[in-house]
Amino acid sequence: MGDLWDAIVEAMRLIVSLDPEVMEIAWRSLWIAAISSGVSFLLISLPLGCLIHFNEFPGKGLVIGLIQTLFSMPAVAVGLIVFVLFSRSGPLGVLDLLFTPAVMIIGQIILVTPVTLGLVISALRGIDKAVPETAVALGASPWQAALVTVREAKFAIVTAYVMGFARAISEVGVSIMVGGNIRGYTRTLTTAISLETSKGAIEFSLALGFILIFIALLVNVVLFQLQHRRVYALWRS
Amino acid sequence: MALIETEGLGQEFNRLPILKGINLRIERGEVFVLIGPTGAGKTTLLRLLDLIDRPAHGRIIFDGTDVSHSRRERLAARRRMAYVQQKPIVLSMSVFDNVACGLRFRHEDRRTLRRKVGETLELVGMIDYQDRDARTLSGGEMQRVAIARALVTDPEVLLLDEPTANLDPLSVAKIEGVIGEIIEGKLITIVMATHDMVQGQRMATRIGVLIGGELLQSGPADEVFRSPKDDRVAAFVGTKSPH
Repeated sequence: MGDLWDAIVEAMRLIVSLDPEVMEIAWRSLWIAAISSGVSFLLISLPLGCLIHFNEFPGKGLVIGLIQTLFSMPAVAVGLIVFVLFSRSGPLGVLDLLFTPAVMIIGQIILVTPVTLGLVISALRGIDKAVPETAVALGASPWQAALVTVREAKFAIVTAYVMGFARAISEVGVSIMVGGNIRGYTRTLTTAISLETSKGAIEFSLALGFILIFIALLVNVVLFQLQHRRVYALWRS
Repeated sequence: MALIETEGLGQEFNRLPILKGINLRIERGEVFVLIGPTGAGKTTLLRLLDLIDRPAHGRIIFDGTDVSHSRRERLAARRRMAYVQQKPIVLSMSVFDNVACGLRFRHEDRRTLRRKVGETLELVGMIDYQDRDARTLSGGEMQRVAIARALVTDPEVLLLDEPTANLDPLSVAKIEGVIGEIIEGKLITIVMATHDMVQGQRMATRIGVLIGGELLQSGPADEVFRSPKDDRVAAFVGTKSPH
């Protein structure tokens, strides 16, 4: 118990003193997760989710079912696939990206996309069909009617991004397999926690763990604020 | 030339016919009221006329152009019409922004938009509510916002689907007053569905009786109510059968 308490105190000291190594790892985790979840959300899930939702095609239910199945895709399996693709003998080995932040981002995009895509589709399906029909009746083009629906679903759509970010920043399988946990280059909060714990550096691991929990808390607070502001706006009016 | 013309218009749902062989001619400036019992196909017909749905059979000619197929022509024709649903959906934005929607879809400039929205809110008596979240309005207020949203684009055709259904008498009077003002302007063609025959008779230039997906009779209100063409029309309008 005493050891745990000492570890907590040391962890707090590392955070409060803005220990350069802790901050550098935290910052890298943040920007890698922000880019991967951002690219996944903005460039893939939002447009593809709209395309799937607003169009009828054979096998649509099957596609949505498949996306939902991939929610629970193990990070380590994604890491392995990306590792095989980008290893020297792999089909994308020529790009020489293995053990770089770039390939970590690619891996996280693959991991996060089913979650953000599935949640974007769910968010759009949650909007009454009468909403796009009303827009169409008011003279909207199909594109404008889709935008109205997206706008109506904006809170649930923001949640999709936040969930994607949470999945990206908390994963360890992809980052450790394709990033290699290289100090000062590809080390992130989760890979560092894994390594430092195995070395017995519990204080350092705890400090990183607290930061990770703090980021998760911050994300939830932002999400709550967004939803609360919506409720408050309704109440005020 | 009629403003709206339908030829053999039909619609199906799960292969069941819900609208059969509708031949209709609606002239410019006319107030055409569709009456019929619940489930007769009035909403289905209005949705087809507003080009929201595509018909299973037949064609629709709007101002001389067949608008049954081309997406661009359908959008252009739809932008000359406005449709007020029976249960209006307001978007999660202010009353002002709800009314401004149609103008924004047409890329109207900001100054014109403010002026038109203000004037239309004044017309429907909702100017004091312009900053309110539209989702907090009562049913009658929402219906007035829906009418304002339709009118603000200066449509040539206004399609109204049971605009006073499920409303209290005060809201009915207000909405009928607004529709009355629009009719007096005579610049607009109105197609209104209602199962309230008194309302239909009061407002119509011509009445169409839709029963079981078929347009059984259409003509001036007096003619339809005094000389129903068959038993079904007679039973619905509550007059003696011709046979």
